[in-house]
Amino acid sequence: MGPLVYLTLCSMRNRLRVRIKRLREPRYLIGLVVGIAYFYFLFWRPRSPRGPVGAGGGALAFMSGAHASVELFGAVALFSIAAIAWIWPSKSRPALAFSRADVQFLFPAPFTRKQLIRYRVLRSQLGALIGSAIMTLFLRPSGAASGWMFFLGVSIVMAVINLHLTGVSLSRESLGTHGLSGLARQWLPAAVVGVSLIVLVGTVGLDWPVLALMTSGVEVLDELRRLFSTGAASVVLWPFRAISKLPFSESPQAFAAALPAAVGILALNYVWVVRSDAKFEEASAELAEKVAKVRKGLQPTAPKAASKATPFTLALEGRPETAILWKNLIVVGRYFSLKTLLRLTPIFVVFGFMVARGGSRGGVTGMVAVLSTVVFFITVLMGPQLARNDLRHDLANLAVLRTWPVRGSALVRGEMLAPATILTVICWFCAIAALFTAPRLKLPPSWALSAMLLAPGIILVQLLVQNAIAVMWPSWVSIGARQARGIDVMGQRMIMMVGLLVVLAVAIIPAAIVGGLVMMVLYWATDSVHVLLPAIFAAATLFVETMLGSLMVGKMLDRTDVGQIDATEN
Amino acid sequence: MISVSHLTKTYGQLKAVNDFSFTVNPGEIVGLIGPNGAGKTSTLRCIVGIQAPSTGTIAIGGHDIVKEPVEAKRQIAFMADEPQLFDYLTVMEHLRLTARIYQVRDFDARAKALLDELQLGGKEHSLPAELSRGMKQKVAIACGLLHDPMALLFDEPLTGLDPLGIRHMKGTIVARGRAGGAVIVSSHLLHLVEEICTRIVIINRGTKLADGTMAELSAQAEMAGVGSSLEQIFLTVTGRES
Repeated sequence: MGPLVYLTLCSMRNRLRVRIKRLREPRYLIGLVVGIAYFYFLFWRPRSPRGPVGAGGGALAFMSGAHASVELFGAVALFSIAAIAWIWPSKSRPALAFSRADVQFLFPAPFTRKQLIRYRVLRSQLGALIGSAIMTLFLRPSGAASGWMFFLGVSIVMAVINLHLTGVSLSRESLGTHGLSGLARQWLPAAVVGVSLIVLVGTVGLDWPVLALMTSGVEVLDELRRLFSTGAASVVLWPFRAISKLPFSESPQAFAAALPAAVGILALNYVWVVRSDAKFEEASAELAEKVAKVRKGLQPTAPKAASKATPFTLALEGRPETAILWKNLIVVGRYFSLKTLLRLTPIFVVFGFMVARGGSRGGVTGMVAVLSTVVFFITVLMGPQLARNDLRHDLANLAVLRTWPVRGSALVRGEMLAPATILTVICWFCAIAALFTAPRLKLPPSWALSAMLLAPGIILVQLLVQNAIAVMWPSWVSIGARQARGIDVMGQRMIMMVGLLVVLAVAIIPAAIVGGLVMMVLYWATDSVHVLLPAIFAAATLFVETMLGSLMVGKMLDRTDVGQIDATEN
Repeated sequence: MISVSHLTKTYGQLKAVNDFSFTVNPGEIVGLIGPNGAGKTSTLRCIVGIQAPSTGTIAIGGHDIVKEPVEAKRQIAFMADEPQLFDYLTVMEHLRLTARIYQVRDFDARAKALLDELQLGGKEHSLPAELSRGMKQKVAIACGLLHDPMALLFDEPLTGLDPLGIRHMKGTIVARGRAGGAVIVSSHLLHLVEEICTRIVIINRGTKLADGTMAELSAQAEMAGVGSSLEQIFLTVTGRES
């Protein structure tokens, strides 16, 4: 057995041991039980006599009869990933994801560069395999054969993406080190990508008059499929379609037919990466140091950001909440960028496809209206869990925060303000977009305004609960930048999610009662249903609840021992 | 200025600090020394309010750190051994945030003076990731000194500093003491403590073993027949002299 294989196997075995060992802690054990129960009920529960629940009724069901569209939009998503990587590469130098121990042990060891690259590339594929297995379980293809096809297909797609992004990074470094000729060649791939983009955007642009007249999302999709399946656009998308068709093959024969081209592209990428002459060692060592710091909870995962303007000028006098809001908004401003947004393009492509498949009416504007409404509700209900730029992130700095002459309640309010502000802005933007793009939905402006009024209150209540959990049971949430993994951790998060929903439901009751009473009084007085004024009262109630809650959580924070906070969760 | 009375801090079964009492008056620089695990950092963290004492009281300028934390903390600055900065705030933004938190009035003048004193000129718009460890230490110190605190606590203040930085740091600590500040310096560098501290407290296993000026400790040591250097005294008092 080669030393690198030995290292890989030992690491896997010991990681498993650590995961098993941590089950001694009740929170992980309970989490594991819940996680396993979830998977059991999701995949192996007795089938319903009425339908195919548990087999074939998964999320992939929405793709039935739409394999061609799925394959095509998968190809567009893959193209977007590759295009962004080439046109807008990472500012940091190429780095394969070696650990600090890898750098210290393997770099000085008598291994060739190719051996090291091969070791790291193949090891990273293990992660891709696990990710593919999880995706297969969640999307539940309809049957064992399609399950295996989907798993293998997704594994190959993820492996190609992984290799290609590594290759892009190494290639740009290599080209950059070869003088003027290298610099000239460096722009060649970008030019190819640019031309490809012009072809795709131009194809859609030329056909825009036709697309704009269409009245349903399905029609738009069909037209886009026709456009991208013919002419120059089909040539541009061919390699991406060759990969994307694999997971969605309708039969084993179709899978076998698509396999050679996909494997060929995978092999080409592998050879390209392994043959690279880029000097990756130094950058890998730097990356390993950064990752090690992140694991110690010293630094967030974002790349080093250049200092930019602050969101507003912080006055030297005023409430501490504003200062904390200012600090956290700066963090967000320096973490996110247009590039970050562009990286989400593939997700928007897939999401747009799903919305369109839902058969929204009204063509492109109808799709925007439905998408805005969906994003609004997702932001209100899921946003507070995802936007963690509050105490969940800052508890890692509790030792610093505790030295400030600021009461816990003010700290809690200040910490909640940044995510609340950002989520509210997103919600309002979506509500306005939906209002103006959905005349056919006949949405009364007062309803949209009421939703805009209620959104901040509901977001604040959820943020308060999330922060209260972080203060009361810090070991149950991920503190700082690092996220723990595993079925047991997933189970923990599910328990938290259920608890959060219960608390949210209870917290909304007073607001609902107040709003309902106002609505009844108005109805009694005017004999018609009014929503705006009840929404104002309900929102005010939620706000008061949040303020009172922040006082309670603040008192708990004042009593919290720094020693209870573990930012290095493994 | 700083009054620690019968402080005890326990972590589960472990008693990190045990019935520890001492005071630091304005103008005094007290060196807190002890072996690893003696309870120095726990004591400092309790004094600045990062951790709550298990029993005992701590007062800063007459304000109890548990009962009146905001008033007490307004007068404190704590410079930890590992500088903790916010990753996405520049040096100047750290100072501005600190100024707002502590309600500092003449911010611009003070910030400029501190940046000059700590040789941070030209680094105003740098993020922590762009600074060396020593520079980060200086930023943390600048933030600590910005509100002109009356109680200053330094935990291993020389870690990561270059020779010139060490000289400046020593000068800064001594100047704050002379300006009437109550200063505590916790360090393993006995020569530093011997050089700049007006009084020395030796702690081991959470218990105070000695408290006095260098002259007082030397006199006691000579009476006991041991050497008069702080190193000799420290090793003898802590029972580490083999």
